[in-house]
Amino acid sequence: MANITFPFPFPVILPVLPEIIVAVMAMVILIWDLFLPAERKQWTAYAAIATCLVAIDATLRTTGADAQMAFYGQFVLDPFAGFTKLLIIGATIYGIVLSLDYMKSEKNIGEYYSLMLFSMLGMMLMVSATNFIIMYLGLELMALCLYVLVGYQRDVLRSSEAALKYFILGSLASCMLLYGISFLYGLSGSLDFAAVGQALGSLGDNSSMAVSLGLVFIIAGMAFKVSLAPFHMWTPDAYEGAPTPITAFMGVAPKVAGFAILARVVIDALPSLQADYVTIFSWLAVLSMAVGNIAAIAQRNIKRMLAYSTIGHVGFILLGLIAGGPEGYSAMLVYLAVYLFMNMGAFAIIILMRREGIQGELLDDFAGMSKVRPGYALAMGLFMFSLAGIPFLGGFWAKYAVLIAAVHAGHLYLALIGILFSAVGAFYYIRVVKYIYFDEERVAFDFSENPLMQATVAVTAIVVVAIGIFPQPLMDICRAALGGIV
Amino acid sequence: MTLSITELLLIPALPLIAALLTGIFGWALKEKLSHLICCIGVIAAAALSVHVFLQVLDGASFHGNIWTWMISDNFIVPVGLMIDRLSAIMMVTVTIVSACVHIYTIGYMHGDPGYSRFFSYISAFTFSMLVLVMGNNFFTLFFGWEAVGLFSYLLIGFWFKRESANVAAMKAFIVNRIGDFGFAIGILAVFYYFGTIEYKAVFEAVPALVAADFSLDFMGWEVSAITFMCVALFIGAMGKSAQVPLHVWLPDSMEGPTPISALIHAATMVTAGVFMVARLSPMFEYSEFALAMVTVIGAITAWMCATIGLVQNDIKRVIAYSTCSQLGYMFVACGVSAYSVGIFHLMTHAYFKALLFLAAGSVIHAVMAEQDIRKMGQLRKYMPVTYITMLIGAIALAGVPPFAGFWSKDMIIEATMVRDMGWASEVAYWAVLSGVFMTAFYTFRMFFLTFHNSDRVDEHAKSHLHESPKVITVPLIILAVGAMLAGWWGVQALGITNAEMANNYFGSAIFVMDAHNPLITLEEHGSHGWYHFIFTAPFWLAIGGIGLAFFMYFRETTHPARIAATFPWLHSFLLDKWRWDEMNWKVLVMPARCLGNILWKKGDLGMIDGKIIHGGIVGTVLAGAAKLRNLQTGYVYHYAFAMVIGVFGLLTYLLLGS
Amino acid sequence: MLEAAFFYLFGGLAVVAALGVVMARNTIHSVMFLIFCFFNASGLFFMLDAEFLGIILILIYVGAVMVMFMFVIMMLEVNFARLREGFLQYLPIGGAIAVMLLIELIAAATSGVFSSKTASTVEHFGREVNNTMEIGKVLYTKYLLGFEIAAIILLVALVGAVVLTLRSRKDAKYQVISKQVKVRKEDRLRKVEM
Repeated sequence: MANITFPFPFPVILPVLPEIIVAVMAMVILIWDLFLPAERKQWTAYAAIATCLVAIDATLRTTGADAQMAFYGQFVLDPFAGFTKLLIIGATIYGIVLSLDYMKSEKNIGEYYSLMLFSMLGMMLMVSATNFIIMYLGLELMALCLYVLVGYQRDVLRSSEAALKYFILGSLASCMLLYGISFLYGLSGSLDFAAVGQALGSLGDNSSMAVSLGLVFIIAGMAFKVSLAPFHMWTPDAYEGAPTPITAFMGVAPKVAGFAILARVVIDALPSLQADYVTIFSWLAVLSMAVGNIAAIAQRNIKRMLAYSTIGHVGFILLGLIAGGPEGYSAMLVYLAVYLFMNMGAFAIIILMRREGIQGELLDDFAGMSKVRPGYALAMGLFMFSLAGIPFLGGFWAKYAVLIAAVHAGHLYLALIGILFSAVGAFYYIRVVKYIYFDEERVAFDFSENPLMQATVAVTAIVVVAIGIFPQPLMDICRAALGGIV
Repeated sequence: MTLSITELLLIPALPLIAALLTGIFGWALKEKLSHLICCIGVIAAAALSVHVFLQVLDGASFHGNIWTWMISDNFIVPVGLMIDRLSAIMMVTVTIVSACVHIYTIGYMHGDPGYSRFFSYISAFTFSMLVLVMGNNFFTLFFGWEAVGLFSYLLIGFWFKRESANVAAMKAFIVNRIGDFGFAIGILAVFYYFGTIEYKAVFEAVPALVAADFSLDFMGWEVSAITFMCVALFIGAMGKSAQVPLHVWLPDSMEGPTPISALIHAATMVTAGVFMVARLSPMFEYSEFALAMVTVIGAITAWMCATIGLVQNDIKRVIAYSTCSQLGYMFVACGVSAYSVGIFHLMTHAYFKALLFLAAGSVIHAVMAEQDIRKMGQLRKYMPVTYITMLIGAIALAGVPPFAGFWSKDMIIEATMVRDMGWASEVAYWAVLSGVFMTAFYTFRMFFLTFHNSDRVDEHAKSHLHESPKVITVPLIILAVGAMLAGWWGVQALGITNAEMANNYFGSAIFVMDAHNPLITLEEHGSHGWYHFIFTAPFWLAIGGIGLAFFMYFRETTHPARIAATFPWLHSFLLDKWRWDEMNWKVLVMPARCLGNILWKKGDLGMIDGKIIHGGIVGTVLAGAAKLRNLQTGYVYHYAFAMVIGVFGLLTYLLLGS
Repeated sequence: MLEAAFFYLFGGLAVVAALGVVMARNTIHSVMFLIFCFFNASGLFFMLDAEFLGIILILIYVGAVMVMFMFVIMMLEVNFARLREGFLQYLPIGGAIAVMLLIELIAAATSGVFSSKTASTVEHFGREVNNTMEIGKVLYTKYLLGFEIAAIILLVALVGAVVLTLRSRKDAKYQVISKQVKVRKEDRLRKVEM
């Protein structure tokens, strides 16, 4: 046989190994599901978890201290991408574990887990993108899966409604993003972040309006994905309507991916616009913290409340991005990592509460939980205190990191506003604790006894406390994870 | 030679683990498992402490940081250990007494609903006390200080359903807070002047600071920095070690279960102040004023509490006042720079006072929780072991040779006599000397009324009267051995009273200026043989006190009533404990409460809650929340519109800005 | 000159058609406007010598996607009147913002960057270059990753559509033929004592 010669250099695929594994396994699960008898459909979930674990392993193995480029420099695997991928995969594992009981009675669960993997794949591609096209495609892959997952419970009206709203608004946001990208392409003639950054840096003053327009539209499109106010309006509805494990999943993973790629875009493609994007981000951060923390107070449904809490938290995370520099970006990563655990923990408790198939979602349902299930009550209390940023729990250090970074970067007023709203936010988190510990039980719930879930809750609680007591290792890791970009 | 760090860490870790296990899983543990875990933890800690002590006797020591808890700029908070001869003797004392109390508790608390909680608390207390004595810096000292205070509070209020227990716990806590305030200021001053909180570094820097003659203006009063620090720290010691005027909490703390009174309020926690002064001897030595203050406060306490003890009728209160009084002795010893003697008395006192308390607990247990000695009598017939062990404890406390109390107390009095500090040591000398007579008297008054005199136990209790079980009597016997031998052992085997610090047991662990050292003066007066006590006043005063008690209380007589009738004013004054509580109530508590009420009703409820919080902040936030909820209409086009407005707003802002 | 005239013709018609999509009262009309809009966009592609894209736009979007749209819309009964509710209520603010945004967009787009320098004449102008092949070369080399992701997106769209629509509803009545065939007299027939 003659040697096969490619008419073009064969792309390096090693850095893409985790993505390839996930893509292949997602499709395998999709097919395998067809051949599984109905009572064994649950196996697909375990296969999905195994895939995630293998992906974690592959990510750890392939990520080195240096950036590795692949696909003509459109894909990069650096410590930053590696770390955020680990967070994303971690969030996906949480999402799958939380789904185990919840989705047991649903139809098409093979497709469900497969879609979760595809969504994860989209996010993984997104955080590794160094090109607007790849970024956009990854983002769409993620979003499309999420639209379907949100509307997975077709028989539940508010689930379908939430999916439709999410889809329409998401499309609008994608349009904005594309429009912004097209402007930057028109200005620079390239779609690679680095090339765009160079071209924008050498542009004259007369183009500032077009640049601003591209900037605003790109940020608007991205802000939608991480639900920054005023692009947050879909969040409460989608959170409430989605199946709770999906709510947990989309409360964390897309935020990690969104912030990661946002950081990459502003660092690589928009360095010359720092003053502008910092101004925009400052407004978005203040608005998010205000809307998230204030509106959460008026909520009776805990999923809605946590939706607003997410909005408040992304406002805080944005402070890290505003601060910039190694300190700011690592603070952002610290916040994302801690947020992953405390948010997932809180949702795990919500999922554990169900009575005859009815999910406990109202704040009232938590009343008197401490007497029925003291262990869960303690864990929920810890998560709530952590979300509120009470020392010495993980959430405190996350807030501390971003606030200190903001102060050091000279954004004292933003930090003060952040502290003010975190004080407001403490109210509704601690209200949950009040319901749990000081109110009489109103509705009796029988709690799910899935040992995997219980172990998850326990481990999560320990992690939150451990980070609270020993924050340094996490901070060091996050600082090291910036190797690729700063 | 250094010590094994693992072994050292195990000593506090074992009680901590035991406390956590019983504390967290107490609800699931049977009584037997609870006390097994805690007793094994503490006894193992005691065995390790003894092992460490033996190594230290051979000249081993340890100093080092193990972990850095916090770094904030140049404020570094390490957690480390400093094991020298001072901490070693404290560790041995704490763990042995604690082990005895643990075993004793098995019998005493049997059947109590809070059984495992109690064990968890006392094990955790042991841990805290060990941290206090083993630490190498002011932070560990402060941590241990506050932690023992916390467990003291929890244990005094252990029977939290009892109103009086709660009040006593609160009183102990609040009075201690006053002391802790001074203590915290002292530590902050130390950091301010030395820039570090590690003992070693601080001690090395003290002479330079004194030489530089730093002084500060405190409320219009010029004090040198070192005096300020020492006085502030000593105020902390006054709170914890129940010195006048912060002694009021200790007698009330007898509301707690008796094992606690023995462990915390007699043998260990209350002696933390004495330990602290001895540990910080390199600082106190440089402040004449602080030393004089320590001496005078100690002397006043020693004398005053002894007088109160003369007339008390509650068996535990008599011992409690005696504890205050003996703590005063220890401070007098430290004040006259005989720190080694002070620690020596601390150790001997730990054994015989714990013994007295546990024996008293045994008695109380036997007579159905009756604590009034007027309702006891002739108990020796029923409980011989308790009788004999308590007699040993009483003799030791009274200071009759060759029992433990004699050796240490005698040394204190002699040291006070020879140390020349002007009027302070004069006052102290007469106070401690007269204290010996009173101590002997009230101890044996209590003893005779309990075990001899006439039988006044009520019928109901009498039917249950019996000797306590082995778990109670065995610790009594162990402690009785300590009460007999600790003094002789300390003088003969350890040489605690040797004048030259080089020959002294403590060596470099305690720093005494030669000019101050009363032991040197004492030696110059000429060395005495073992029999010299026959020629000293304290011995005869002790014998006299016992004799008077014998005369008045051995059999039922009318002397006590006649004396009380002759001096009714004095009697009620003493019985009311010098009216400290009444004075505190009128001078401090009432005005504070009035002020608190005004601030609460007018300021907090009226102004802050009503006007600012509910009207202002909460109102705004709630209104904002309601508005935002109304914005969330649920219509997609509203949401989309919000996005467009967002883009429009940002774009306009940027375009106008550029 | 002629080129410019055609550009403005196609461009203008595309804008008018796009306005028609959102303004039309009848959904069918909207779809028709959309098709018209695509035709014009395709015309713009042709003017750029991008015949492949122009043809693809017509073949796939007009020929397949829009036809399906049409079917779907005809099958759904949409209440036009209700959709229009509140249109006038939002017109002042919405209109004002739309106009201002438009002004800003135009201002930005004409701020001089997209001059002939950056958007220089297409390099291959007048040369013999196969448009389709050039796109293929780039698509399968430089943009291979994007191409693959797009494939996965299509797969996900497919799976998602199936998942959301293909389901056995509890209240639906299905014919089970094997059951009907297997039925016996005893199952269905019941004697009633009169």
